[in-house]
Amino acid sequence: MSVNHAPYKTQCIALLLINLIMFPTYSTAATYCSAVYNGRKWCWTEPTGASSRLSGTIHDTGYMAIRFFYYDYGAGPYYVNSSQFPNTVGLILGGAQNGNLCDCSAGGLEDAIAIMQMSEHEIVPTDGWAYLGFRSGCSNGQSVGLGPVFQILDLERDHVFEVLSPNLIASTDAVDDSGHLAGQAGWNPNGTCKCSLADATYHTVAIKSGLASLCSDLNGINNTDSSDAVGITPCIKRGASCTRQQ
Amino acid sequence: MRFSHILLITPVIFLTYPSVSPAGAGLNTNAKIACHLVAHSSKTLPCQSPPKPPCNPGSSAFTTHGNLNTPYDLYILVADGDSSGGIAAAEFGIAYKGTSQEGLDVLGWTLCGDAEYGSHPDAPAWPLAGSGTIIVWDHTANCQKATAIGDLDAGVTAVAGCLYVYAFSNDIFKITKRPLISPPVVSVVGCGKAAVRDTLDFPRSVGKVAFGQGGGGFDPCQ
Repeated sequence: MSVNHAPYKTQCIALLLINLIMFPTYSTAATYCSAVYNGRKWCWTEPTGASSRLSGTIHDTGYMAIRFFYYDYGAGPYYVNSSQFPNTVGLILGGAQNGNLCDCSAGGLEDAIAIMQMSEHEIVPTDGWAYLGFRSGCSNGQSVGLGPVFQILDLERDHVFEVLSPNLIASTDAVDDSGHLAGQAGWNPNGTCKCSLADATYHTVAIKSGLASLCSDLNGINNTDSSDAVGITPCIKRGASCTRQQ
Repeated sequence: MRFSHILLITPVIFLTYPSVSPAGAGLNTNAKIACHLVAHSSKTLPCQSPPKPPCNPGSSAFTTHGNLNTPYDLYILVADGDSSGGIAAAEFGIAYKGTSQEGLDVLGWTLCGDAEYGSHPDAPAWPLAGSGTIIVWDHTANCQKATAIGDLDAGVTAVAGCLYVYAFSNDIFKITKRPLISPPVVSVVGCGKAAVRDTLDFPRSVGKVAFGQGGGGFDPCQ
């Protein structure tokens, strides 16, 4: 007796397509381990397919507050904070980016973080706000040839750490006073992290048009919308700045 | 159970499996963008003590009808915002007859928020007919968390701004999706850690004001 397999074949293909659509897979690209640090050797995996972003605004007291966003496999951006993560995250800074940063964490501030050696591994206590800054706040290490920017590690999630922000920093302080992005010819932040008219001009173009913009999409959801406008506006209104450099 | 039955059922299981919550789902999914009409006043600044009608189901405290040949202040408000997260931004468009001295004319706009970003570059300039805008409140210093007096569920009411309007003939002023962005939406964003953009139910959650004879006004709180 012959069996007609054609209907099963069709159903199998349909099933495969449904699986691919509804359950996209994010393969683990690689596992890395750090040198021994504070008695521990940290390892982490770098997922592929996840959009992650380090972004922030200059705090109204003059400190650039970097907000850690992580776009978690389609579940929406969320903060690295005590309700979702342990109270520590790790920072690994690519050495080539060290000169692009300013540390605005003068002592005495609540939640301030002392980053002593930016080019080394750091443990950062945070509730989701870390007070770091950039001389100019948007830097795509790959596009400007500076190498990896930050690597933010979620610590102690099953002792497998995920790289949250491999290559991109976005901030309200996107450009220098002449409108140059970090790494562009002529870029001169003049020793400050600040939200200026040039930043307002830069961001407004993306906000009004709703276009994808790496440097204005602060929450990393792939377009620039009203939620990014909320993050950008206070800093712009105050013209907040920070002059302490790393 | 035969293998063919498993193959038939499996897609149904996948299709009914609870999907991941929409990216960006926040606390303001029940918010509305409403319109409220009051007699025009040239003596007081529109945003100094703006009207804040309560937003209660089953009753309408918003004025959604105006007469012809009468100057009005048309307030645009976010209502039923979440009181814990507050309101930091609203995004919408507007529609009315765009011909001068025919239907409604908009003679002026006063921003009550802290900043506005205006229309898409290819859309009419705000507040022309068919335009759109994003109104933002400083979420660090001016997060909108106040409840309108009489609001029974303590929803937040935030006044985005006020249009100075005058109707020469019948017209309907509508809140629309902000045009030309992809996709066009009406949205509200919360403050701080709740700074998530919620797309509102359109057209159920937006208001209309009718001028002249006939109906067409709509209070989304009802």
